[in-house]
This record gives sequence, C-alpha cells and structure tokens, in this order.
Amino acid sequence: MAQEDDEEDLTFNVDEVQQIVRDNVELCLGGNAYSHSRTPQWITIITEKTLARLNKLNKPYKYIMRITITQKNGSGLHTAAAYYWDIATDGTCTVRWENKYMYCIVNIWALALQI
Amino acid sequence: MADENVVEEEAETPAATESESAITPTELDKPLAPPKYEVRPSLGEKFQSQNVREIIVTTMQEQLMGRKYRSDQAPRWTEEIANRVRQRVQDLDMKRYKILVQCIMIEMKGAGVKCAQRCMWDPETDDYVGDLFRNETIYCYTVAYGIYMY
Repeated sequence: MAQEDDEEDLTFNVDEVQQIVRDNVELCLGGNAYSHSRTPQWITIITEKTLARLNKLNKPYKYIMRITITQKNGSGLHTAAAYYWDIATDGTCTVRWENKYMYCIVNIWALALQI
Repeated sequence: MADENVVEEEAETPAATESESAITPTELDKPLAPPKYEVRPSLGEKFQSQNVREIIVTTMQEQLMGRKYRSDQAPRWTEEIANRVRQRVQDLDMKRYKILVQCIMIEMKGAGVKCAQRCMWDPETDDYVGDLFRNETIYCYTVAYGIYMY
C-alpha cells in the first residue's frame, strides 16, 4: 500500500549514506597532501557530488552537510552536537576519513519533511 | 452537496464539534484536530538569527573565557556548549522549528583547517547562525541551524 512505502521512505538509512560519502571523499582526496589553496576546490567537488547523489535517493528530506578538512599536525580537535528533532524520522551520519597528511570529517544531517 | 452531508453525520462525536469552531466551515473534520497547512512561518515566527547569535556568543564566552586547551576537558566543554546553546535556543520557543547545534573546538597549533557546508533546504524558512571564539590556544566555532517543519 502507499502508506507502507511512505513509512519505508521516512527512515534515514545511515549505511547507504555513509557509503556514498566515503566513495566521494576517497575519489576526491585520495592520496593527496593537504594544500590550503586546493582545499576549497576539493570541498566544492565533494559537497556537490554527495548532495546530488543524496537527492537522487528521492526521499522526503532536507539535508545539511558539513565538511572539515584538517592537516595532520598533532593538534586536538573535538566536536559535539545537540539536536531538537523527531528521533523517529530524522537522522545524522558522520564519516571520518584520513590519509597520511590530513583528516576529513563529513557530517550529514537529514530532517524529514512531514508531508 | 451529498458528500458533505454524509461526512457531517459521521462526525457527530464531541471532539469533532470542538474542532469545528477552529476551522472554516468548508473543511471536512475528523475526530483529530485538522492540519493547518501553514507552509510558511508568519512574520513574528521566523528563525530569530540575532537572538540565536547572541546566545551562541555569550555561551561560548561563559564557558571558555580564560581557559586553555586541555585534551581531557575539551570533549566535556564541547558537549556542555552544544547542550546549553540548544537549551537556550529552545527556550526562545520558535514554533515548528527543529534545532541543530554543532560545536567544534580545535587546538591552535598551526594546523591548517578548512570547513564548508552545503544545505538542501528551503531558504525562505530555514536559516543558520554561526560564530567563533578564539584565544591563544582554543579555536571554537559553534553553529546553530533552524529547520522549519511543514
């Protein structure tokens, strides 16, 4: 029935999204060294590709995507987040990726549209 | 019309009569309160960017003023800041808004960092506010998003 389809559509599939993000980050950053001038380009590529693929999933969600790329320098980095949302339908996905020269942290938040 | 008559006969429960007064006569009513279909926040109900920015700035200053980066304490500090900002933004009571707060703290050691964000949302109703706190050892950026729920 149509209602069953809606219920399936309205859960956030973390694994699928993680896979999408990991593929895109790997594709773009691969074995590169941190470069302050090229990073904006990389970020643009990653975000646009990932958002395009998320949209193709065709789910009734609004997405927020945040990327942080840090050079490996021994400095500490901590992140915390707090949410006020509907835990049944909304979700978050964080992907941490690293290579020899840098760390890349991608946060994706999906908020359901109540249609 | 014939259809409307049938529905009115079915809806002769006490709950239905209460909700009838709240809606226009042409809408069909059920025992539950009918949805209002307000797809835009009204003028006084939009995301209050300036107030949220003040909340973020004061919370970070309260928590981090005069402190040095400590790797054992930093997770606690970020959690506290995120929770406090979220609590205070909730207290602003912006109706139908979902709130997201992220606090990111970096030790100032000369590492290069680049951050970016992209959002897939409705720019007329959704908004975000972010602000920075810096001292000699700490670099803390907190961002709060408000997403309207249709």
